[in-house]
Amino acid sequence: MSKEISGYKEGIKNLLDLIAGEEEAIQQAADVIARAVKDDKMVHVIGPGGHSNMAVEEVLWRAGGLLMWNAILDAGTNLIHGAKRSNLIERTPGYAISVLDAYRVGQQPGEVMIIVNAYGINPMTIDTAEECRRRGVTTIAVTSSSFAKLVPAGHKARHPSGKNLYEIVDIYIDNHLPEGDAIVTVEGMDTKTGSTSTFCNCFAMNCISIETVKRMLELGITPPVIMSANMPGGDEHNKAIEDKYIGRIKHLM
Amino acid sequence: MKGYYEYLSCLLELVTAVRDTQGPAIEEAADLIAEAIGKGHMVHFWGPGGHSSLFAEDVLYREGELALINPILDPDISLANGALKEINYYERIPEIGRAVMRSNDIKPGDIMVIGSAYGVNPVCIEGAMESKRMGATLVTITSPYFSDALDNDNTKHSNGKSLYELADININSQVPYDDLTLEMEGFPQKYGPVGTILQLLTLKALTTTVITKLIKAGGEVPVWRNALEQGGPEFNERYMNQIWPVAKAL
Repeated sequence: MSKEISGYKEGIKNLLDLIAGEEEAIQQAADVIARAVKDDKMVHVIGPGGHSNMAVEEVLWRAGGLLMWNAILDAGTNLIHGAKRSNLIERTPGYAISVLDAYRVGQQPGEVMIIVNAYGINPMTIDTAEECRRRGVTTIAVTSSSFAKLVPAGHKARHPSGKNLYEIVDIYIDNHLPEGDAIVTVEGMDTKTGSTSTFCNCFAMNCISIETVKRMLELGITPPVIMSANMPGGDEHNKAIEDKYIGRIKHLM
Repeated sequence: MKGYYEYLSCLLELVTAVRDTQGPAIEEAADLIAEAIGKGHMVHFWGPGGHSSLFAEDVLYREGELALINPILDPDISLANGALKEINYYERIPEIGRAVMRSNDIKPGDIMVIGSAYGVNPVCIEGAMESKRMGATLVTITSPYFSDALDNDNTKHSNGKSLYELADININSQVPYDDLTLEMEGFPQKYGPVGTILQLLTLKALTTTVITKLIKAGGEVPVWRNALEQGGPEFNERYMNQIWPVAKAL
């Protein structure tokens, strides 16, 4: 193993340790989510920004995952429709309101929104958190404070208000994103390589899922965990769970 | 020759042919659709293939069109995600047709309205068959003039069928073989396609007939208001709740 790969591996392991250490916040989130599911309220998850969408895809219809997540996968910020284009969209103030409207977020009281955005500064992210609050939706953020401190007020990547996600949500799960996202220095290069944000985001989401499964059992409900559709018996096992959610989760079918 | 004059004159003739020959088929299809709506069944619309995808798009959330319908748009069977890929490759994979149907909530008693000018691509044929397997009644808008004249097995479904042959009711959109209406001496390629326009206006001829019948029958007729006018989106909300999330494209 090269020393750079070794350094990358150790860096990721360290980040996973730090995220796993956010036990209190993760369990708090698990409790809120489990209670919402018990009361049959929608639990949404959104990644407002390019690669953040991957954290939402990570938990949509995944083997060993919970099925009840209402994955909000906005085409405008998805990288497949243009990476640079996605960046322009995430920087559009007010855009998030339309996305929340289109997915009918906050129509019922007691809904929950997980906002995954490691950097936590772009206009779409800030608008999502504030609008959810306005609609009475409980907000849980998977984010960090490193970029909040790094990026000055007035920078074009920021929301006009200059707010940071971790400061404006009900529950903050620190995903410990390192400054600059990339952690590996290669000799001869000033710019670092070895990105970490997707690992941080996805690991955090899966930790939340695990603790939510536990909390659901404590609350006396059967966690809607699905099997891989590729396993023998998978489709059959999943059918009853899917039937309950297919009419409610837009991207499930 | 000017171009526009001949093209539009040709189109006028073809539109007149739709109006004057397809009345009985349109009425029959409209009766079927109106009856299904009355019984609480869903009416789905799909244009499987290349430019055909505009078929469903043109009745999707449009003022003056039926609100409680499911216009089906699929990312693979659409030019929006790569025209060459769709026309040369994807629409020839029949399994995609099945996947598109299966990813929609199609129930016995529903109506499936499929529009395809040429009516031959494998996705179209397989999807049409799948919708019938799922229990829907199949209304088609297509042109036997085109599908019957096309002599290329490479572009057809392996069973060799054309869309109009699978239909419970077909409305002939009068698209001529080979869709093109103009030619100039010395130029090897014909031009001036009419397929999409004829398909769309035949569809509108059908939906306007359905709405007319529903209005005559009395009771509420769910039709979208203009979202650009004051109060439009708010008015449309009442139908949004009823059609969400069956109409995925909304």
